[in-house]
Amino acid sequence: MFALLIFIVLLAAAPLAIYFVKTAGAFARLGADPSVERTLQAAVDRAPSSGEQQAAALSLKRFRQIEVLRETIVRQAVLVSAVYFTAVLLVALTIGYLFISRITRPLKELTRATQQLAADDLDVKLPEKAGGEIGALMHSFNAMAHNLSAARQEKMLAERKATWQRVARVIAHEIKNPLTPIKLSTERMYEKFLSQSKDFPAVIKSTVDTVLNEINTLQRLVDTFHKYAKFPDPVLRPEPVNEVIESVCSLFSFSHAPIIRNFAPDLPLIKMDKGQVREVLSNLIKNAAEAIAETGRSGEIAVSSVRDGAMVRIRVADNGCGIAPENLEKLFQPYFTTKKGGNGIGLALAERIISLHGGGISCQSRAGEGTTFDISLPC
Amino acid sequence: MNFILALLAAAKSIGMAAGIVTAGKSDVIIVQPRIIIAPREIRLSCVLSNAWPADLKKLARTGTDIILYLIIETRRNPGNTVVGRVTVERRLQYDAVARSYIVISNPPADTADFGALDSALIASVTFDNVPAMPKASLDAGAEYSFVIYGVLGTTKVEALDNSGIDLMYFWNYRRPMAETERFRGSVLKEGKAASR
Repeated sequence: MFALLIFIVLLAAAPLAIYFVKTAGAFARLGADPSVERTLQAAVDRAPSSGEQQAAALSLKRFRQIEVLRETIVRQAVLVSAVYFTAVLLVALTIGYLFISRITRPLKELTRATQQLAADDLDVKLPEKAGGEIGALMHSFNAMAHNLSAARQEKMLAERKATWQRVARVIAHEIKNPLTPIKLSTERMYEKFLSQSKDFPAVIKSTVDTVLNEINTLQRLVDTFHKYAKFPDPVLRPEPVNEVIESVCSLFSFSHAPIIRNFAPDLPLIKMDKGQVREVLSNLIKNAAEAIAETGRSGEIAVSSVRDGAMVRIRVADNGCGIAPENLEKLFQPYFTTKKGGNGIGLALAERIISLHGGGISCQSRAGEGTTFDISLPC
Repeated sequence: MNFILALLAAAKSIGMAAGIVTAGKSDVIIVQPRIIIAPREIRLSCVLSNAWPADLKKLARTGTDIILYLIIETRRNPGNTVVGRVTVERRLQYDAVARSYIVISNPPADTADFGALDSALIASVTFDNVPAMPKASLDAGAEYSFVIYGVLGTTKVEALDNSGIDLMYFWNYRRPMAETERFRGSVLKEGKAASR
């Protein structure tokens, strides 16, 4: 921008400079005829009177002064013009630079703010000092950022509300399931009691078994929710990551889905809570096996590890039923599940564990083709 | 004509600014400053070298008056206070009728004719036995030094409607300056001769 300004100023000034130099050159070449000096000197010498002699001498003096001063004046004119031209050029460039800066600085701030906004920083706010169109643009940007922030807040509230509704629905459903057999068994026992039935003692035993069984189910449900709500911070220790993965893989042996291992050698020790990471991997491998089973055919689970810059990536991939696109973004939300009998805790817990390790977990899936989970852990 | 005068004025401003920036670096130099202790006064002799650049010489040849001043300041130490100042004027003229150059000095009032320009130029920048300070004004217990400046004056130019131009332009607005060493007042008062 500034180079363009220099070019424009030079382009505008060049014709003037060329014109001036040519004019000065022409002026410098304006010389009187040397014979005039001789004539004037002769006039001085031959003047008939003292008065005329003095007048001729003055003319001669003037003629000679013009000859001398002409060169001096032209030289000075060029010098003064050059200095003046340079000064004007510098002033013009300085003013131009300041003017351009006045425009470009807010635009740079706007670019930076837009990048921040794109990076999900909705608290960005631009100073609204500039006037005119730039000021209006800044104001509009701030209004947009504010609206986005408000919309984000509303969305978060809505999501939280939806999550709580889903939690309530899951809990209600999970509690309702054991309550039905309890209720039916109790009613049956009461009928047997009223009818003085002979198999009443057997029914009592059966009812108590059912009730205790369902209470255990309820207890497990409560434990699971409690586990997520009160999850302990990981205790990080350097661990050989491949050994941790292998220790999990060796726990599973699926007839319909063999586990294919592909571990990168010489991986560095990773700081992790081994127990928590094993829980994550167990969950992913179990999910993969269930996804393959749902297809009704055999498949395979690929578990791999690889160094990726400052991270180690662990991948668990299957060629099972896959996940519907609309469910992908809710996958790590707590209490979200598409599985019959699932409680929606497993992946939410996995995401939380990996996040506490300073890493990340992502999922790519195509319905009917399979799913790939990538876990990144810092080296 | 006004345009030309404006240009000269602008050139003068630039020259003065340049002179301030490069003060003390004059092409014109004062050589051979000599202190002469006369019976009643301290005298000084010196020569201005390179005082006639080509353009100034050309101007002198036109018959334009060239006015040159030599200023001698007597400074008393300690304090470096100026206790005396003497200005000598030299005026170079050309008589087109007589075809001779005239050098007018003041003080002392004196006029000298020269047939050749070069002789006139040499005479105009040679200063001999210029009275700088009466001995009676000297304090035997103090120290004295002499600072010498050369300055060109303003002259009128007939071709520019008798406008005055500052001849210092030809010296790039830089005054040549020289300072003698310090002498005890007693030495100046009683000594036969001290020179530098």
